[in-house]
Amino acid sequence: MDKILRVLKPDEILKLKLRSIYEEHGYRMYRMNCFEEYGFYLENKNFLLSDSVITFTDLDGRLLALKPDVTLSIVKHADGNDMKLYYTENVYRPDRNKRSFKEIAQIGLEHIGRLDCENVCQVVALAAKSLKEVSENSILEIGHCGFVGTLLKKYSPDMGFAKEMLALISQKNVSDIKKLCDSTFLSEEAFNIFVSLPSLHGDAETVIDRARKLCVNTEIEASINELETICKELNKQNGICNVKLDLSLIGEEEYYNGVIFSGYVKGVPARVLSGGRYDALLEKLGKDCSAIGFALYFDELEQFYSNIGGNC
Amino acid sequence: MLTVALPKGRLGSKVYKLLEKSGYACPEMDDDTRKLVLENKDAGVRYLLVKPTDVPVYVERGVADVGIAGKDILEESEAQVYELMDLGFGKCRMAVAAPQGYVENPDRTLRVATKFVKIASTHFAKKGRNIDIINLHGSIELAPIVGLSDVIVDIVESGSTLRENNLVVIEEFMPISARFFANVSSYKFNETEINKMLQCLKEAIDD
Repeated sequence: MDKILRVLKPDEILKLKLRSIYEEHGYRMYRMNCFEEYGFYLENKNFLLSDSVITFTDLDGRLLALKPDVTLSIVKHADGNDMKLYYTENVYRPDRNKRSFKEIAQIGLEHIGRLDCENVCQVVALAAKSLKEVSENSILEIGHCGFVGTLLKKYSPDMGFAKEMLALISQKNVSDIKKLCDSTFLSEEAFNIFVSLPSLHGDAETVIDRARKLCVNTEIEASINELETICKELNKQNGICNVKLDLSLIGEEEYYNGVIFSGYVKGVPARVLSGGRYDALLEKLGKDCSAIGFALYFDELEQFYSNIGGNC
Repeated sequence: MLTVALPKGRLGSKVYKLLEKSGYACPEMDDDTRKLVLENKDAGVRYLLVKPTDVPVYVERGVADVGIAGKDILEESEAQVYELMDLGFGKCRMAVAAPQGYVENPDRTLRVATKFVKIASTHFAKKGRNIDIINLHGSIELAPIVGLSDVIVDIVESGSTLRENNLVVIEEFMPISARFFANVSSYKFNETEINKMLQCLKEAIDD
């Protein structure tokens, strides 16, 4: 056994550790087909990060695609029963320069079914545990799509404004948020809220206190209450990474609609984990249940492991 | 220790002077050095002197925690970073310019010479105008004079280069100024230091 362990690379060890954690919590390994019908992605392309998919014609003439995303395929098989799954799969997406496709190794976890608060907390906690397994120096940031989403719905004068504002909020670009607000007629209340959004991040208690002052309707209140419950629950957990709130967090993938979260590891320039609640996707596919999940990106972690050098 | 990607040239020197005033001085900087990495351990700062267009790359890829560049360069790079402050100087505009007396022919593809391929493409795509982009790296003003392009898209500060070459601005579309930005992940782990530097810069500018 020792011999085998010596051969394993740090990322392979991590994969095995995470698998054992997920199994321990009642999640079962899910093995996917390599290919999916291209039409399936076409119908749901709003839920993909990029429109670009590698396609080919199968021997029987069907147009198939190499999967750009795992969640979509898993959700397709949801039947309303409780599904607690994890997977280690490769997905194929355009690279950073959009010049060619690259293979990205992911490990992910999904819980689909009639979710209660406890289920949601468990998935967020598992994300925080996964990050801790990667490095002691890691952070999970939690936000809520309902927060910024509701504020935009209530205060933005038109769709164009909302879209621009979303982009600026995710850049924490206060100067340009001010300019955008000044360029249109906005109440002072709305101006102050938008300008304060980029700084609404940090320790759970402080952020929740500040966010409470922005409770302009019951939807926002509900999202803050949900975050508070999750943070309280996480406080009771052992072996999790540093947890913070960031209410300016926006779901990049269009399928997120409730709690969302991103994970960062010191020494890796981009986020290594992303996840959240995606009931909207199930609704679109005509399934009557909810879901939450996350994925950890091994392509980003590669740099981390090469920085700390070879075998650990 | 914070690593700052500083653009070589006028903008970089101006920002460095502000940082120097705020306690982020690096004595080596003054001796007309050719070094590319300058460090002051006591002040907790390290400067990387890079080509202005490379600043967003250093920051996005995380080898620098923060950087300073014009909005034009940042926008063109499409780097995903936290754009924490508009420094309010280095102001100019992105503009479309053409030879004096130029009349656009709308039933033909517009030939656009520019350094800013992405900015120009996005701008004309918004208007639904079909264009042929000619990517140049300098002396953009020459292109319409010799018939390489119909118009140019470039930054305009005082407009004197345009005037000297008989070009006029036909449209301005993006106000530009210097931006201070941070790597997304770095910001999570070094927020206190980055905010402190930001605050110092703000005070130095207001002074």
